[in-house]
Amino acid sequence: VTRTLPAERQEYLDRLRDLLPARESRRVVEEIDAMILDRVESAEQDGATPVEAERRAIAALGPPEALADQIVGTPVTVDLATRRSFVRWLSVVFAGHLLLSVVLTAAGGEESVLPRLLGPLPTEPWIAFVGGVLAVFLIDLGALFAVFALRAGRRMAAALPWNLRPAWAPRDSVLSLVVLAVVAAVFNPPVRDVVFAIRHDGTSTPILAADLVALVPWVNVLLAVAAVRNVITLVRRRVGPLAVGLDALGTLGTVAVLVAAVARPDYVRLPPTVDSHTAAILADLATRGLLLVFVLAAFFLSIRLVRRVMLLRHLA
Amino acid sequence: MEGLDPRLEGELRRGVLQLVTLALLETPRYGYDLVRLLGRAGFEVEEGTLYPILRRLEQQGTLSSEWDTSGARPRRYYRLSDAGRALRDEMADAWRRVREATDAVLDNHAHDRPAERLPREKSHAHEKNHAQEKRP
Repeated sequence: VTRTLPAERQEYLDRLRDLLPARESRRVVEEIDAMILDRVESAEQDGATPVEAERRAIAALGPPEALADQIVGTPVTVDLATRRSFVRWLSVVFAGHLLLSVVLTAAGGEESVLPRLLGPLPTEPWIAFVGGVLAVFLIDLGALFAVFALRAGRRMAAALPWNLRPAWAPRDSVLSLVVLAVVAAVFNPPVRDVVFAIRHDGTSTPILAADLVALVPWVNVLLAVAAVRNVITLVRRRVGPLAVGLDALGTLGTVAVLVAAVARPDYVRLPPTVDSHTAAILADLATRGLLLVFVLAAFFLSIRLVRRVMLLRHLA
Repeated sequence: MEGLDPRLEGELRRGVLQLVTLALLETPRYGYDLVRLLGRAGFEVEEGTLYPILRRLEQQGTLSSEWDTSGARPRRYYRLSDAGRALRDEMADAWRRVREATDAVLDNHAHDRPAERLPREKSHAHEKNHAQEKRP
């Protein structure tokens, strides 16, 4: 049990450090740590167990979010009201935007009312329609982010609908490194040729299209950037500009690679031994599946990119 | 009557916490020491409440602080600056004025009986007459 004591304190202090502006986080964390140790010592002298003493000391400080708010003087975490407000606005704007787009589509128009912002949605094939709806959502999300950020001015970080600062605990970094290693193994030979292959008559034939395989070196570079970011976080144990900058760079690169992947004409190339009808069905299924994964990943990574850039500005 | 709700009493005490903290820091003290002293003086306060006050006072220039590494563990000691002394004295004067005004109201009106209170209309008329009487 005693082994968990420093971890609990460390977790509290890490969270507090992440919530505070970089210029004062170190000093505040050192002082709070000294206060915790004083309180622990006093509670132990009064007969409390080490676990109870530590718990009391941390309870006396209140939640790190509330303490950080008090120290900074303005909310550094997002209150529920702001979050609700963002979601409500997003729902209304997206619903209105989508309704207008559907009306324009039903009216059979071809021209955009506002180029790239408002116009009829493509109806064929179905994936293009889904892409159109997603684009509408992304436009609204980006616009609302901008409005919330502008409205907040210097308190930008507090006004956004979630805390900009990632937790990035050592445990998360280790887990990330493991995941990155697995991804690197899957996308490179020899594992790639086993995972993305069709076995037929005792032979294994890789099926990924050459166009897609050509992106793998870029994927490797991005995985390396992400690994460096995780190592930095592990060593420094804090969310600093270097780690956030690398994370933003890696995210931007990943979005670019995903967009390049979406634009490739073929994702899979089945061997001639597969009959043409089956090959067409399999290729279509694989293409749709991969396309969905690429688009969703690009969507979430775009949000992540916006958050990282804003955090970078906040740290600067 | 079961006594005053501790939260209400806490609110009253929090109002003067800054003044009391300034008063205790004529001698340099570290955070937890101050928490204990305040507790003994009847101002139960936790570190999460006190620390932001200390930070704010220091940023205003009313306190200065420095690490003392001579003990078993490093501790940050806070002490009053000259500006802090001036602020403490001003706040103490203000506190006395508030206390006297509060006492005066309590002494004159706290034991008013409901039956002695005037109806709303009469009360307005009474206030009007009272104001006219006061005019030169």
